[in-house]
Amino acid sequence: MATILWVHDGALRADHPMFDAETVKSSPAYKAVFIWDNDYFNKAEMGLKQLVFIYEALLDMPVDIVQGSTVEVLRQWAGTDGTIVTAATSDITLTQMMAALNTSHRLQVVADEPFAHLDKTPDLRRFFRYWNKAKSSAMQHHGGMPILWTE
Amino acid sequence: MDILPKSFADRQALVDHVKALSPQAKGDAASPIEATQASLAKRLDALDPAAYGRSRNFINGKVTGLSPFIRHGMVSLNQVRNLALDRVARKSDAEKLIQELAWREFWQLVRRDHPDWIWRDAEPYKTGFSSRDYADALPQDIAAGQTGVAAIDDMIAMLTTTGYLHNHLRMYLASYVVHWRRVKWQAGARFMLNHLIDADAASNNLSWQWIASTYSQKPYIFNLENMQKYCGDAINTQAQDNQALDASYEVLTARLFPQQREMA
Repeated sequence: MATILWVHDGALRADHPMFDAETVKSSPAYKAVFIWDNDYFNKAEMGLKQLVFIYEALLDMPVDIVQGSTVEVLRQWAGTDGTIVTAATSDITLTQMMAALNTSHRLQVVADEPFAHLDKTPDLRRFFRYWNKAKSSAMQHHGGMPILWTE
Repeated sequence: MDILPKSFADRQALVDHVKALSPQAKGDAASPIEATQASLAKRLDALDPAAYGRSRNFINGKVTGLSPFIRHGMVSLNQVRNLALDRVARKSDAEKLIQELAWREFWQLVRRDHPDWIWRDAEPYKTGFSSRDYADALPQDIAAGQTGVAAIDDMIAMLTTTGYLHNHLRMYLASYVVHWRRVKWQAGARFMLNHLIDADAASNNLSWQWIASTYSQKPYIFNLENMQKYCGDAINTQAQDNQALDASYEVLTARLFPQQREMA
C-alpha cells in the first residue's frame, strides 16, 4: 500500500510537520512528490518569477518533481489503496483538490506549527479584533521545530 | 511519468527549463532573489526585530525580506516568531514584527472562512462610488509602467524586474491604481500576482481590498510628501515628475472622492 507525501507550494521545507506524520514515518518507502501543474499555476495567476522561485526551492528538498494534473498524478501514484499525506492550506484550489482526492483515497492533511492559540473562533471582520485576541499567544515562544541551519 | 531534473549547469539553465515547462507564465526573467537555503539563512541571520519596529515603513528600513520564504512555507511563522523573541532583550521590541506576521496569519484565516472574498468585494466601497464606477481592466500604461507619474513607474519597474516590492510601495501602488485611476482592485491584484515572487492570493487580494475600502472603513490614500519621507532615493519623488500626487490630503480627498464629499 503506497504512501504518497504530496508537497505543494505552501510547504516547501523538509521539516514541515507532514514529514513527521505517523503515516509517513511508518512507511519508510513513502514517495514525496511535487506536481508541476500548469492549470493550478494559471488559476493562482503565478508568473515566471514565482515559478522559478518554487522550482529553485524544490532543488533542496527530498522530493520528486513531476509534470501533470495534480489529482490525476496523485491518484496514479497512490494506486487503488494508497494513502496521501499533505500540508494544510487555505488556498482554494488546493482545498478543492484535497476534497476530490478524499473521495477516492485516504487523505491525511497535516497542519503547520501553530502561530497562535485562540480560545474561540476569532472575529475576522477587522485585523485588530483578531490581533487583540491573538496577541497574548502570538507573543509567546511556542517551541516546535528549530530552524534548519544549513551553514 | 517522467521525473523532472533537479540539477542544472547554472541558474539560467534552471530559468530556461521553467520557461519551457510553463510557457504561459507572465514575465521574461527570474527574480534576483534566490530560493536557496543560503539565501534564507542570510535573511534569518540579519533579522533584527527592534530595528524592524523602528524603521519598517522606510523603503530602506530594516525589513526582513522573508515574505517569499514564508509564503512558500520554507520557514514557518512560528519559527520566525520564536527567532524574533530570541533576538530581543524585551519582548515588546519584537511586537511590531510579530504583529506583521499576524497579518499574514489573519489573511489566511479570512480566506479559509470566506474564500469568495479573494475575488469578490467583501463590503461596498466607502469612496462615494460603487464598484460599477471602477474599470474592469488594468490600463495598458500601468501594465507597461508608463503612467507618466515617475514614482509609480519606478515601482512598477521594480515589481516587474525583481518580483518584490517593499510593503509600503505595494500600498502606494495599489492606492494609485484604485483611487487615482479608478480601476477595480481585482485588476491590480491580478497584476501583482503575475509578478510577485511571494504572490499569495490571501495576503495580496485581501490587502488590495483593504486599500480599496471594500475590507476597511475608509480608502487608503497617500501624497507625495509622505512618499518623500519614506522613500529616500529609492524612487523618483521629485515634485515636477509626480504632479498627480503632489497635494495635501484634504485636496486629494476632494479630488479623488468628490461624491463622498457631497454625501457628507
